[in-house]
Amino acid sequence: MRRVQFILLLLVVGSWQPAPPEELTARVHLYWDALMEGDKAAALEFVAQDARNNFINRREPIMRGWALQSIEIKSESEAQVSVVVDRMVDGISIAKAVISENWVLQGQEWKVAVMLVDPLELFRSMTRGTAKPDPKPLSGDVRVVPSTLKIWFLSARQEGKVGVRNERPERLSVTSVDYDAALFKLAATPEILESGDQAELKIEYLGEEIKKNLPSSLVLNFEYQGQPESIKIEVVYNFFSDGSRGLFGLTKEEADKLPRGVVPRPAIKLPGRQKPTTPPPG
Amino acid sequence: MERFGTTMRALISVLVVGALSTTGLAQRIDTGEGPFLQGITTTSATLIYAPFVSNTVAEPGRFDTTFVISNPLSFPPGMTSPFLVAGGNLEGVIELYFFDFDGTMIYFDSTMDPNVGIGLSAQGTLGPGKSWIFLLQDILAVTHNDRNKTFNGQVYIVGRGLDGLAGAVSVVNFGNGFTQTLIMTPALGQGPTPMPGLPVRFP
Repeated sequence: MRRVQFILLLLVVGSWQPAPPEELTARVHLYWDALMEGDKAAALEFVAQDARNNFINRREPIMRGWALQSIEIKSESEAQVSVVVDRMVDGISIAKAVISENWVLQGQEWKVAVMLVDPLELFRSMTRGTAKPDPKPLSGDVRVVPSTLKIWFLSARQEGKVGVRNERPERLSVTSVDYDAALFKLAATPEILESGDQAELKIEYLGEEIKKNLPSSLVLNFEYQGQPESIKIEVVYNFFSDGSRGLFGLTKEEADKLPRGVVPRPAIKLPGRQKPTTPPPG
Repeated sequence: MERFGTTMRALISVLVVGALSTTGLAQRIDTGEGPFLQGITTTSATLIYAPFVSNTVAEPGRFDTTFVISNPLSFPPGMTSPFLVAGGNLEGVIELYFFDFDGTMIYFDSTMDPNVGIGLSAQGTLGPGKSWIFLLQDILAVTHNDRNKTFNGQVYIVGRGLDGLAGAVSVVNFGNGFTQTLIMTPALGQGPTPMPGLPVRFP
């Protein structure tokens, strides 16, 4: 029973928040009331000195009302204030949105530390960082992804790469890569791969051949637990896909003869007169 | 009573027209020789197009283009495709053919680097119901090792191994907030048929 009481006490203490200072609450109201009236000059009085340019350069959305949601005291001189605003969307409808801002105590006054979001960085942060290797359990193998190394004929850079992932429980070290040195140059190779690590193996095509979809291969030699092992990786160079042939209207023979440096044109055929799909009887 | 009769006649007309349209669209339409067929067919590759994308470093800020390329071939089990595609090829590779203002071409294939943006599988394919989201500068970083390479032109997008494709580009000036969004064509719900891209035939 005492243990339960102790846990409850811990929970109460843990969730306890100091009451926000009255002065902070009052200034939050004055700041948001000024924003609602579109009076940025008046609202500027509540902005931290080093954030004034951010505030002036920030474009305010059209808002029709606001309500204080919470004030979370982070320290004696810092608080996070969240408000719910009625925000105009597309100029006709209103949607609720939560806006959270940091307030800091500067001298004797609470002021809002306006942050300016860089939209490019915001978008990049949305689309970055998901490229980490599969979090799947280790398979016990050394995986090569994609399984075939392609070098694209139409690409400006005549190089191709694969990811090599060590899915074994211990580290491996790459000892050498065997490849056709008359055709390729090694551009990047993994050296030591800890368990779960992935690194790039990249080669560059040096030749001038124009025939498409030519096969080759390379061998990745490595040492695992003191034992030599190897993996064969298929290579296709001058890769020219069916999609490219379709876009440019080329048969396989025509694609094979397409020289380097010539930019083919998309061959879109508009629909013509409809033909019967089956020959008429007789 | 008269009103009921009118309503019923209208309803029957809609049903008849709908049935005829569906029957017509479900058949293969042979439009003659050429790399593209306009019709609702399974050809295992699909084309969509955007007339303008840009990556230009300028003051203030820079112009860049956000891409979203979506695979619409995901619909509840037991339902036929709302887009009237056969739905045999549901996952594939995305090929990008950029033509700069002077006609020079930049090529990118999603298997070149599956780590560009978000939405691709580890193999670089786009699965049903998935969206691939990235910036033009991400592509230029791979093809030319230069995020700031200037590009102003058009882009053809081929979904290899896909019976349908949809997408949009937003040309954005990240300095002053200007944004121009273009839906890639042919687009879902536009024109006489709800075609998710133009089927490509391989000569």
